[in-house]
Amino acid sequence: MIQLQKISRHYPVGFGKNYILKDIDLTINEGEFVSIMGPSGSGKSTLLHILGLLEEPSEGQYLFEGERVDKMNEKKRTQLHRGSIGFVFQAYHLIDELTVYENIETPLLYKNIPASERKSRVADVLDRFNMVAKKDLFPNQLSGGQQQLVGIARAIVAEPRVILADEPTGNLHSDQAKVIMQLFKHLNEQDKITIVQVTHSDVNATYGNRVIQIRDGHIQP
Amino acid sequence: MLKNFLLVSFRNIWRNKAFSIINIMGLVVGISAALMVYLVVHYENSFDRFEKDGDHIYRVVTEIDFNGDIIKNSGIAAPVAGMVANYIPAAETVAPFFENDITGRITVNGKDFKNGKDIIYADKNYFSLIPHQWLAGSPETSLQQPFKVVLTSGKAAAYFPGLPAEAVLGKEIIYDDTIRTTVSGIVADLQYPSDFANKEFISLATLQSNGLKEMYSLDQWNSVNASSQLLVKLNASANVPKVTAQLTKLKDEHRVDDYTKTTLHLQALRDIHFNKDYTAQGRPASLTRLYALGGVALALLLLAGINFINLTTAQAARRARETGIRKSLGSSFPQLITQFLSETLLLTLLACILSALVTPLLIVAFHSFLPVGLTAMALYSWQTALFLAGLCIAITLLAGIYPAMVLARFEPVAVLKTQVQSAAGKLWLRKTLTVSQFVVAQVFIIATIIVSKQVHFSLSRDPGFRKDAVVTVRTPFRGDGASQRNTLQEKWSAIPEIAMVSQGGMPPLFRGFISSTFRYHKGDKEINKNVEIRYGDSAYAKLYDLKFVAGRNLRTSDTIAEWVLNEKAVTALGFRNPQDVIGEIVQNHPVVGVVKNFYTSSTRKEIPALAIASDASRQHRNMHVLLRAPGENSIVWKHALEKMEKAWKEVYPRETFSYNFLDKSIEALYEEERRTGQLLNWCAGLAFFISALGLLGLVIFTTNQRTREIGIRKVLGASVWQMVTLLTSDFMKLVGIAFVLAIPLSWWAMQHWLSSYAYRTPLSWWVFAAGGGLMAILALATMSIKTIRAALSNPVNALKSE
Repeated sequence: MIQLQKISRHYPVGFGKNYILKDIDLTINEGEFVSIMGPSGSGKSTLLHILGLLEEPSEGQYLFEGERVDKMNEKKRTQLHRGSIGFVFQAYHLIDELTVYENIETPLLYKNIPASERKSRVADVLDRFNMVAKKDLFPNQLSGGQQQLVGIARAIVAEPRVILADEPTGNLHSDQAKVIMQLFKHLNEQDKITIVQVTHSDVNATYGNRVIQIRDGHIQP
Repeated sequence: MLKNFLLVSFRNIWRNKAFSIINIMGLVVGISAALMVYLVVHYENSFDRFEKDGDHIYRVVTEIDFNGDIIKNSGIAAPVAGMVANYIPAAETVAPFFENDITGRITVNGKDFKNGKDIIYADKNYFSLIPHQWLAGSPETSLQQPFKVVLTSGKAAAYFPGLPAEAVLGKEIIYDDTIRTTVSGIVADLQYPSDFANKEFISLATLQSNGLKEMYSLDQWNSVNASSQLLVKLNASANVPKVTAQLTKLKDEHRVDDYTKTTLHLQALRDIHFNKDYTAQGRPASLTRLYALGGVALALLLLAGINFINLTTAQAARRARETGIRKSLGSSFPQLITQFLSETLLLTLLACILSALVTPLLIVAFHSFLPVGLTAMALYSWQTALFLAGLCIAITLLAGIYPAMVLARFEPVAVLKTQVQSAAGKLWLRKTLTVSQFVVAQVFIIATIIVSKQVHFSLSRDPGFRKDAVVTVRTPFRGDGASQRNTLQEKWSAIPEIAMVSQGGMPPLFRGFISSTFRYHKGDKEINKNVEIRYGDSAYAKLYDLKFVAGRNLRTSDTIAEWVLNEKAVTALGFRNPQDVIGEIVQNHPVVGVVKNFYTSSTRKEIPALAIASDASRQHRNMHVLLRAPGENSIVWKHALEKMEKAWKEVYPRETFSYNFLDKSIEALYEEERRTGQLLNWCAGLAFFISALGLLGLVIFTTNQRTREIGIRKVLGASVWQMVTLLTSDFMKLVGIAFVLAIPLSWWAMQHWLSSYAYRTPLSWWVFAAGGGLMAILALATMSIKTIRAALSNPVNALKSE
């Protein structure tokens, strides 16, 4: 599903280049639950951003479902964001001015889904996450774990093929983290959503079925 | 989608109340100003738009060439009307009419009314060009016979209260006790603005009778009078230049005078309201004034727009995260632009609605600046709604597009990856915009000071004659003239509070001028000079305390017998020494004295060559009264005026007594300047208000951003004063730059304004310094609202968080 070939990412320093990622070859198949691990500054977040089309590789090819991403125009990428990729962030990144319900609804708006269907899909997700009672609250009225639940709900409401999670439990304590990780596992197994997460935690990594170690921009064998 | 956008917009506006209020207040000021100017422009433009085929209607006007001095007159010599009717085939309808400004008294049922300057002599043709709705009588028949009069329903109600239109027909109206007319028709008052808003129409045929024919010079080819007007409607195929040429040719056949050359021109109906050269019967609109007002409204809108751009981009970092999230959720760039623009639209819309609510109050408050006929009702029309909608969209696009681009351009990685929020938008742009705001405000402030300085200069200069304690009274036009005036002078002279009474023409200084061409033979050479004239008896020079430099005072005479010149006239006639001109024969009469120059008009005009003469039989229509100083022998002017009125009633029992204090009339000369000054005052105030709001917003923003820094500095021992300086100095630099830029700009603009004055106040350096100082103090005061509180805040609170 996802194929990276000789992906590098660097930025200029003086007359030379500083590589964050170098010659990454990586294939992620449909239905996998992959954990990317590594120390701070090793390039794992950058890798995730490249996977999520938020950042462009300096060199190499990226194929999403067999299609060259670097050849895609802005419109096509936006389509991918809308339909195929869901993001979960460490800092949740909910829109403060919107309620729980509206936050979850936003991706559907961008997908131009009719109002009645939007309503039922948001209702489904809220129901599934046991958050119906909180739907009219604003993010700052929720705990961190609850905010992250909303973040995940928002990521899956558009029924993406893959969820990219950047340290999803980084700001949570362990009980909350467990709930979130179990939810990911459930989504992966029941809903067949491909999941790629960046994590520091070995415990979290065990929820997935593959671990990729990154060190200094290289994938460790 | 739109609902989502609007929801976010609304919550954002609500959450940032301070900034929203600043933005909305600025916009309300700008939009209200634009709305008012729009209403004025729309009103002025609506004059005489209701006439059918208005494009083919023209007024025939006259240009008189006095040896190169061109005088434009909105009237014609009366016989021109007949000439046009007979010999210009292109003229479909010829409608001559005469403004009746001679009638002094209108008597209805034994009750006297004054001439409202809305009476004309006209016939049915006038009504076919300026259509009225007929309530009684008909345009064909009502004005056919002499001594008939048609009234508008408003006039009829004033003369015959409570009577229905039909019942007024046949009633008698007497003009000046001699012209007895009967009412033959009633028309509705004009529903639309018009410069032909006449209310009383006496049949044109009436003029052919008794003394009126001479009074209105019906047969005189060389008597051009603004009260004798001619409207024509040309047929659709007429060629205006060709008709004009025909007119001039025909007119030349009747040329009488050798000195002047008159030409006739066609003035389009649409031109009448805006052309100041040919005064309209109503009030002409000044295009320059309209442009100036438009410029002011535009400037205020611009300032408000700048506030919006500055405050939105300054805060962009706060919204950057939202952009990042939305982009990662699949929002496209245009969608984000639309979202941020819809937020601007919402804000502007709120401001528009508030403006629409506030403007009726403003129309009432500012009525003295507005055209007389403009009412708040003009606000409730579809054109106004359309204008507001257009304005709203224009502001949204102009003010909103740049901030929207800045906000929508954020890349998700940049803002989502890091917790640190970077400042966004270009700092230099914000600084430039702030500087330009303050340049505008500063120019207005300096201009205000200079205009009021000029007014003060004009009023406080020594006019060269006595202007205090002088009262002028106009005597009635009709009556037996000199003997009544002499009786009045005797009676008034006997009043103990009165020091002196003189009969004469106009006072030394008044609005307008009376002039004549003086001929003087110096050896073989003939000198022709334009000379202003004042008429007065022997007391005139004494009463006004004119200083003689040579010769003697005038003797009172029935017709002009001798001249007193001013110094300017002496040099104009080619004499160096005032003594030398004494005894010379100028324009048929000897010069007997020379007085020092005195001002004859406002500061706009230079002192002209001037002559004083006595012409008691024709020109001494004004009484000039010098009152004794109040307080001296317990003199109270009010008693003097009461006694004067009592004496007046004995001489003129049916005329009302009215008087003018000369110093007040002189002040009234500068009414226009005073209004300009007031308007500038408002402009300066509002421009500063909007700019200060923006400044306050920026200070609030940067101060909040620097809360931690302020805390740390205070812990390290910075004083409150040092903190305030730190927070304000950056902005004061911008105000300083604005001041420097404003100096040449305002200097140039005010130099230009002052150049229309012959006598002007100097552009002293202190004017600019005062303007800059005022601005600096106001800016500091504005910023202190936020900075002092921030500097006083407890550092613990700032450092505790995180």
